[in-house]
Amino acid sequence: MELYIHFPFCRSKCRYCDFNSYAGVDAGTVFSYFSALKKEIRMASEQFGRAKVTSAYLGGGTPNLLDKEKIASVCEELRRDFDLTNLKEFTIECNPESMDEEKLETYRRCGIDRISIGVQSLDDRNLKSVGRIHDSKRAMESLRLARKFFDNVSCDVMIGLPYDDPELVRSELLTLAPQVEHMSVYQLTLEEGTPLAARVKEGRTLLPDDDEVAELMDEAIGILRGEGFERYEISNFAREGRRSVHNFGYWTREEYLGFGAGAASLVKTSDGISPLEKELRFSSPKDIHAYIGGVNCVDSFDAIPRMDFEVLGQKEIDYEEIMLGLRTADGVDKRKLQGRIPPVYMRFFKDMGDRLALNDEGMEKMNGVLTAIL
Amino acid sequence: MNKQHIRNFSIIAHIDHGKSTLADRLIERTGTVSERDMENQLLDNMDIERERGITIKLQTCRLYYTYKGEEYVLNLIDTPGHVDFTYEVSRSLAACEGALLVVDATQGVEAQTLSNVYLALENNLEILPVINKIDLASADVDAVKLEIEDIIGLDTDGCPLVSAKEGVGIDELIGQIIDKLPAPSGEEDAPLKALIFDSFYDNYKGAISMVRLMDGSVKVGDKIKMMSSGKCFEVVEVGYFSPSMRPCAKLSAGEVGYIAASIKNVGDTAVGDTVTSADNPTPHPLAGYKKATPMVYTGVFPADGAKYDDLKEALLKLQLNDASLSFEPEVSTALGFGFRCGFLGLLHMEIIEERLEREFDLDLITTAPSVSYIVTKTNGEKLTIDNPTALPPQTEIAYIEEPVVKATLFSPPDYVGPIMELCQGKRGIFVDMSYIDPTRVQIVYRIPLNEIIYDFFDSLKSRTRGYASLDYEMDGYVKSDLVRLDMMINGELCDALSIIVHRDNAYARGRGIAERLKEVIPRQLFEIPIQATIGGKIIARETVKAYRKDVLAKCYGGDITRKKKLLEKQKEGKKRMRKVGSVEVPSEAFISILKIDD
Repeated sequence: MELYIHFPFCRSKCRYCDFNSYAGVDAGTVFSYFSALKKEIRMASEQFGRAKVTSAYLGGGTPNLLDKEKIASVCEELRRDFDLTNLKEFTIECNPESMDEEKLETYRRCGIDRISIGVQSLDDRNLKSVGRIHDSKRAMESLRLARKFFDNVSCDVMIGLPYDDPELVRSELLTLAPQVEHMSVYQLTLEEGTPLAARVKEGRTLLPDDDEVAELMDEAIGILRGEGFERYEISNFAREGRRSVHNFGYWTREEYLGFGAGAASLVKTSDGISPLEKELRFSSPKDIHAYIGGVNCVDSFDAIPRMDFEVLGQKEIDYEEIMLGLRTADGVDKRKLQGRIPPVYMRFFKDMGDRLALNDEGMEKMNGVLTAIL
Repeated sequence: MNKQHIRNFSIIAHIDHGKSTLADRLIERTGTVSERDMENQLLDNMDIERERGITIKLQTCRLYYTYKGEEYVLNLIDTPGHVDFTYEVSRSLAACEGALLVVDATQGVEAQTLSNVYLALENNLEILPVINKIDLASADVDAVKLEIEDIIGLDTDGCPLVSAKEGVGIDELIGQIIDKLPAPSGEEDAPLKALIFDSFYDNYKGAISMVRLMDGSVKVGDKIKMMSSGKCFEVVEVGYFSPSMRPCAKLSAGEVGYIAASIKNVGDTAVGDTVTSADNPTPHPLAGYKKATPMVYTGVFPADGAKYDDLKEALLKLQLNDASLSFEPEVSTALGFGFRCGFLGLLHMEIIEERLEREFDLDLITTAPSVSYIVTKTNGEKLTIDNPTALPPQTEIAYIEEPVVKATLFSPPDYVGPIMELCQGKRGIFVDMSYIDPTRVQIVYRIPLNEIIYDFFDSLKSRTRGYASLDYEMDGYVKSDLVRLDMMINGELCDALSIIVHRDNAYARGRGIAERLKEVIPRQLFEIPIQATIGGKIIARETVKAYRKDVLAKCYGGDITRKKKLLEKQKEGKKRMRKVGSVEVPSEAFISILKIDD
């Protein structure tokens, strides 16, 4: 199974962000959070019996904002409670502004072997306008630093930022590509209620429209392919052998446990081995205090208060396999798609023998394709 | 009641000349309704009537009034003023001996003033002109009197001058109603002979007939017979409206009232039928009326296909009280199951659609209105077609005839130019023009009905700033070079968008619809060609470009549930769309084609 651990803390909130993260949380709350987090991990271990773990991911928020000792203690907890002998990948997510050599060295020592850095853009106007607190110089510096300790480095890049144009995207990606083994290219999403959405509505920030973003995405795909990357998932690109094991597990429906506020889980077994009759999806409360309180007042993993509880039968599982599988370059088994795809929609697919995957056009119009076939 | 003390009368007028207000005043002055219960447009029961300030259904009300020491019964029948509802007017007139012709002192004689007068004359009614709104500053009583004498030929000497709004001249008016309108004739001892001039459905009492007794009498327990069907019923209640239902012991010759006889089916109390006694029938039924024939047809479909049965139920209920509404099942490849409905005119159509949506909480999609065409095929067969999709292939058509109307327009002379331009543009043929007086012109055109039902009213109002009035009557059929204009969306025929047009207008209309569809059909996964075709030949083409992307790919920390919710929400949105082949077409598209300015 896979493990995800969430650290919902940032130095400041980016304007576009509606993820579960908070700025300016006091030290006392952070302390309680870590106690609760470790308790949740321990209780999971009792429930799942030191299950074999294939990948782990420390995400956020900004995990590297926290003291290195705190991260180390969580890693120790994981090692104590789960079987990490077969761990294929152990990632930490970092933002450029709080990275230093000591922290990276600690991560390495804890067994973390992959780092994903939130570069987002190499254009300072872009970074400033969406409220990132680092600049491009700092971003490049953080990549160099990461390289000293890690031979598997990934970075996140956003497309569709206010100052983006094909030339800018091109030069950004050509600068970044040689520095990394993996890149996530996300299209900026305007989420309701975020400061950026308000600014766009007021006309204070202008974003490229959908057609322009599509152009930018085409440009990005072309460049990354030219640089030897494979688009193995709709927004993820990797050099050969460097696909993210952990993220790929989400799309192939590996079992995973998410620890921490707002973290999501997919549970298929009762004890790490015996399959459940039906599969379960659930997540923890997003609010930090609700999460802490929930974990502290119970004494078993099962009893932790959960949100968005879903029970998945075969029908729901099939639905998910298609919805998630088509995000990937490996696609979905043709038998699963039998009779679902109207003939005119075949132009969005590529035939891969006994599997069908979306082609580039299909990837960009995935929602439309999915609503037609699901 | 002595027949000499009964007066049965209607109020007729051009729309907005103050019929309903005058009716309110009569009810108030005769003390029929207590002051506490009095409200405006008292006889207009429907919300739509009150909101729009119009009368749709005829209503009756019995008023008691003491005049010169004797008590009189006045049976008032309020009637609709809009041209669509002329049939309701003619029905109520047949139940009366007299009519008040209300003319607005500021407007004078209008198109429907005239047509209503003709209806009253056809029914041999005594007409009493009444000049209303004399309180207004712009009232010109002398000029209006002159108009009434010149155009209609009625004597206006001493005619009542009233302000229904202010309650001025009402007593004088009631006096004249009694003095000038004739009392009913008829033999109380003769066999029962009663005219059904309206019927409606009451949830508790069943179908109720509103009747005017010509001869004889009827009371509870009597066996009655409907002369057209021969069906017999036992009377359980008789009464009159004042203005709510008031049961009474007996109705006699000359009176207006209602009969309830546990009749389950409104069809058994057909308007125009004669009610007689089952035991002692009259040998001669009354003449009755012509059935109101629909002039405008449209497809009505539930926006949610699952609501088909609800729509059917709702139409049946409306039909109970509105015999002029006709409907039959229709299947459209684009819109699914629905009904082809026939209406008396556009206002009637609008009102029915509004009632369906409001009273029955239905979301509807309606197709472009059509008229009824007579198609003669090359093999000599004649077909009547009210649905463009039913038109045979062009090769089988010898010729098509379309209905035309004689349209009478009244307007100040300033607008004669714009009106003629409008009529000409609508394929109208000039018939006549005459100056009624220096300020008003009467223009008569023969215009295809098919042109009237689009936006003629609106165009007329906007070109004449609301000063022109219109009345029209059916004036037969003429041969026309008509074609069916089809719309193809992504190569598939969308039957719900087909219309029948004159060949000369086909190109402009085809282009207009294609452009409009391009605006209202959202960009989709594929490029969508929109084509207007006549007999397979493409006459206009637009393209809805494909969108480039719809995906916002970030999926954080394995939160698959949120992703699924978004996808489901999107699917919900699509359900509200109509499928034409593989293209999603929003409901507005079907409505938008009605709103094309030529």
